[in-house]
Amino acid sequence: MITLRGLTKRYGGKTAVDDLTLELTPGTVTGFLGPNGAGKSTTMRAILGLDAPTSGTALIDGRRYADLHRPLRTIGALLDAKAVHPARSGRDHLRAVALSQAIPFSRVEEVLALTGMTDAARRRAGTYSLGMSQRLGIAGALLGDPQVLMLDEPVNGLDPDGVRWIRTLLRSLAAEGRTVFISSHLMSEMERTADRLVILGQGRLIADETMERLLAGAQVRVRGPQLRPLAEILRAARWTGPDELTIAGHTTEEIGRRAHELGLVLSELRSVESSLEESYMRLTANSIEYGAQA
Amino acid sequence: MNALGRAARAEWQKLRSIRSTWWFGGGALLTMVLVAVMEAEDTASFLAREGRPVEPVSSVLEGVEWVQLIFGSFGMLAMTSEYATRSIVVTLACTPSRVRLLLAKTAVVGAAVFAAGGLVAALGTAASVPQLHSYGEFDAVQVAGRILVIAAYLALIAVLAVGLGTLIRRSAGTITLLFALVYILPFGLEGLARTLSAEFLTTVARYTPGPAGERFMAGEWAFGLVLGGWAVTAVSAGMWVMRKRDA
Repeated sequence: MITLRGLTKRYGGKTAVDDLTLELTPGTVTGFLGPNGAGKSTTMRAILGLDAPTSGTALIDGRRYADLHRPLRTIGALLDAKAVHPARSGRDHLRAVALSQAIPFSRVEEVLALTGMTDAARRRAGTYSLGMSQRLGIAGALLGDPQVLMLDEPVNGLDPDGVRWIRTLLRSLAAEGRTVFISSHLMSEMERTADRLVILGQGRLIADETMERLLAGAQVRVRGPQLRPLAEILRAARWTGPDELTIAGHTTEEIGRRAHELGLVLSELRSVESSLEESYMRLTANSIEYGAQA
Repeated sequence: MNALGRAARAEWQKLRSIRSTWWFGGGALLTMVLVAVMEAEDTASFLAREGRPVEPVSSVLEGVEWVQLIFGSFGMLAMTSEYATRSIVVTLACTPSRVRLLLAKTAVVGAAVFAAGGLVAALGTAASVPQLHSYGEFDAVQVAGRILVIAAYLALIAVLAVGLGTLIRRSAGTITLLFALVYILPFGLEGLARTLSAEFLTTVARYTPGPAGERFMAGEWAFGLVLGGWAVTAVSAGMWVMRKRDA
């Protein structure tokens, strides 16, 4: 369980994370989305105690990271796959981590096998591809058999096999009752892996929804011959055809009742599934900091 | 095992698993033996004219001037390489207490350099014995004592470098500061003392790491404490900065 309460981080005058309150629960894969610079990595760094919050708290199982006894047995994290000394072998890297947590070397071999890194373990980490570095980083996160896993962009650089492997792994870890928290830019991958999505924009929480609800979107499609009165009273309505409106932020029940009050004839009234990408673009449209000027 | 012990074991595993550690050791040994032998030749020919006795360790002191930079760089890299490779993220995730991490690093680097420095000084002494044999007075206990003091000096320089590396984080800046503290600062202060005729600056210069170390190795124990003070100050400042700043 990860609990963020009013987490705020400012660098100089710039607010990277702004009053973020979240609870990440066991048994769930929570996806963490947001444009570049939205504050995802900063949030994760604050959870690990790498960056001190300007205000607010980040707790793991009710305790600050610094207060955890042998922290990797509680939370395993991968923030930067390339953050390994290039001259050290993968195995030696994991052994150093294991020694710091009083984890036996036999467990190092287990996670190497689990991540498919046994053959590469003797090689210096500097020779690894990004995909291999990711696998090594995931091995490190799993080393302490923790109840909480936090991975920043874990599928970056993985081949399709690797992507499928990590999806299955994360799903099974959540099924075992662990808390899984991952960030990614790959929307389609999130759609298949996460149960819940937290979307950040300019450091602020802009959505926290189950995948189901987010995909259903709150979009309703209405068709009928005389929809103008409905479009006039609902500001969120967009014309998507000569006799078709798409309305965000209302349920089909609400819109059906409004249409009835206005005495309109409807030929269609249904909620429309949007892809995660569409929902995401809609939600973050106003908070893309480094977006291209359209 | 307690948390500090675990952190220290991890740090030792990290040091011994990169090849550069062993290159530093080998480089220091080679430098020491070369310098000590050359110095011993010089001293022997001088003594052949003067006919005075000499300690075999004296030629090693010349070698220390050179190998201290090697051991200093080694201590510095134990910290700056963490920032250069960003592996500090993993290190701090394993050992979140900055104080504990720095104590572990200091202990491991200090112990490793003490052992390696002692070995290098002993072999340097052994290498210069043949030339000086006929002039030397070989009191084994005294020689061993002086080798231990040299080992302690080198360990303190390496620990000083760990502290400076933590403060500055980058290798180029750290090595410059270390060089300035050990070699340039005493000369600068003495020059300033002459220019301003401020006698106290000459006294201050005596307490900078380089001159204090020389007197420590010459047998004045109190100056070992002075050098130790520099090392402790650098590591404490490193701890303070590390706790204050984001990783």
